[in-house]
Amino acid sequence: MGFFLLLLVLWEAVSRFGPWPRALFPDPFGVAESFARMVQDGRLSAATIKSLGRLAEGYGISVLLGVPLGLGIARARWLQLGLKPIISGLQALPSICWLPLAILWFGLTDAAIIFVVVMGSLLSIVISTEDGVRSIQPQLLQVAGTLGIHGPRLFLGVLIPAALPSITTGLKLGWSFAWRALMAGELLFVAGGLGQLLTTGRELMDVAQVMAVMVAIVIIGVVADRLLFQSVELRVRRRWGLVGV
Amino acid sequence: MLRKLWSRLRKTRFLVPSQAKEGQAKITITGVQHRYKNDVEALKNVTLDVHAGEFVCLLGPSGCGKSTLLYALAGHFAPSEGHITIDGERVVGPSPNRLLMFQEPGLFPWLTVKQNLTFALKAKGLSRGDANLRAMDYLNQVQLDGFENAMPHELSGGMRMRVSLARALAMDPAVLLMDEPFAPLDAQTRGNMHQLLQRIWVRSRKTVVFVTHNVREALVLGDRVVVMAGRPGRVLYDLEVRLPRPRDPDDDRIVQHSREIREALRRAEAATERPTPSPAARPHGVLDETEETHSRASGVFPPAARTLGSRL
Repeated sequence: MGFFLLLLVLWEAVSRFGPWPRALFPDPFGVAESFARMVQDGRLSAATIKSLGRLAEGYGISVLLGVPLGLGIARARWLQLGLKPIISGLQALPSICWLPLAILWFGLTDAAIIFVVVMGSLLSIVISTEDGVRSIQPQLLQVAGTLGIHGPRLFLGVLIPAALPSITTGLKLGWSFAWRALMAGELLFVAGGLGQLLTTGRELMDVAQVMAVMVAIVIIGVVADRLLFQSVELRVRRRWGLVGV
Repeated sequence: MLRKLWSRLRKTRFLVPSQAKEGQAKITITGVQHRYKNDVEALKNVTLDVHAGEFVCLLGPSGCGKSTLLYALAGHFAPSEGHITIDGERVVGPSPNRLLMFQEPGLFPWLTVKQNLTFALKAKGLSRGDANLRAMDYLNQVQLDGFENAMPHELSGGMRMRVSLARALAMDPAVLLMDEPFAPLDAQTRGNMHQLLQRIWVRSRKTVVFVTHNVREALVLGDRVVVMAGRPGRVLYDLEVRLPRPRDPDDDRIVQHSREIREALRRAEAATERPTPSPAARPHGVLDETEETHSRASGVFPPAARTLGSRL
C-alpha cells in the first residue's frame, strides 16, 4: 500500500516536473476526475457492457468449441494427425491478424470482432484441454475400463473431470487472450466498447480519458482473473486433492 | 495299515497338491503362451483351472509372468497362444464381469467415497436409489461408515484401498482379479486388510484370483497357491491350503511353509539364471548340483510336481 502511494507521488512528480506538457501527461487527480466523469455520464458503463457482451459471446463460443475439440484431439488419432499441427501453427499468429480477414468476411459488424475473440481464445482452450486429457493417469483410465465405464459416461464422468484442473487453467488463459483480442479489435475498428472510448480519447487529445479507460481495462481484467478464475481454479485443485487444504 | 497311516499323515498336512475338481471350472486357462515383442517369453504353456468360489493366489517373484497372466484373464491383452474362458465364454477385452483391482486404489479423486461407488454402480445400470443402498452396504462391510462423504485424498492409504475393495465387491463381478493390491501398504495395515478380506470373502465366497509376490500373504489368503517361476513364466506348483479361516500370518505352519516355498523359489530361480553351458563343457560339479536341486525341490513338494506334470 505504501509502495502504491509512493508510485502515485512519483507519477504526480513526473507529470509536474517531467519533460512532457501537462496535457500529455496528466496527474493522478486528472485521471481520477476523468474516470469519475465517465462513470457519471454513463459512457464508461455503456462501453463496458458492450465490451463484456462481445467478450461473453466470443468466449462462450470458444469454450463450447474448444473443450470438445480438445477432447477429440486427445482421444482420436485422425483428429490429432489432422488438426494438431494446424492448431500449434496458428498459435504463433497473434489473433488480431485475423481482423482484416474477419472484416472482409463479416463486414464491419460485431461478428467480425467476435470472430477475432474466438480465434484468440479458442486455441489455448483446445491445447490445455488436450494436454489435460492426455496427462490423465493411465491407471485411472484402466480403472474406468475395468469398471465398464465407456461412451458419454466416460467423457463426461471421467475424462472431463480428470482433466478439469488443466482445463480451468486453459479457460483462464483463454479468457485473458480473449480480453486482449477484444481490446485490439475495438481499437482498430470503431463500434462502441472500451476500445472505442480509448480511440475517441486519443482523437480528442484527452489523455486523462485515455488513461482512465486503461485503468478501467486493467481493473476488469484483474477482477475477472482474481475473483473468477483463480478462485475456481483453487476450488477445483482443492477438491481434486492437488493442494493442501 | 500303511495306507491308513499315510492317509492320516496326509490329513494332518495342510499344504497339499491341488487336485482336479469335479464339474465345470469357472475359469479355464489352456496352454497359454505369451511372448512379448522383445522376445521375452512371459508365459510358457500355462494350464490352470479355477473353480467357482475358489480363492487362488498366483505367487512368484517379479517377472515370473503372474501379472501378465492376470491381465490376460482380465482381457487387457490377448496371449499369443492358448485360450482363456470364464464361465465357458472366451475372454475378449475388459469387462466389469471380471473386475481387476490394481496396486493403486484407483479412486476418482473428484468424487466422494460414496460417489466413487455409486458412479460405477450407475454405469452398471443400477438406479440412483439402488446404487446408494448398495454403496452404503459395502462401505459398511469395509468399516468405512461415517466416511462416505470424505474425499479420497483425505483418507489414509489403507482406507483408500478399502474403498477400492468395497467398489470392486459392490460391482459383484463373476470373478475378482487382484494385482498385488496390498503391496504399497505398510505391514500393519496390510495385516488388517488380510483379516478384512478373509472375513468378507468367507461370507461372499467370490471367485478370486490374487497376484502376490509375498509368500505369507498367499498362504494366509488363498485356498490354492499357484507358485510360478520366471524366464519363461511357468507354473511350478499348484498347492491347496487346508487351514481354517481366519488365518494368522504368524501361525507356525504358515511361517514354516512360507520358508519352504521361498527356498523352492530361490532354487528354481538359481536354476534358470545360470546360463546352460553345452553338455560337453559342463563341469561335473554343476551337473550334480542341478540334479540335487531338482531332487530336493521335488522332495519338498513331490506330488505337486507330479500333478503339474500330468496336467501338462
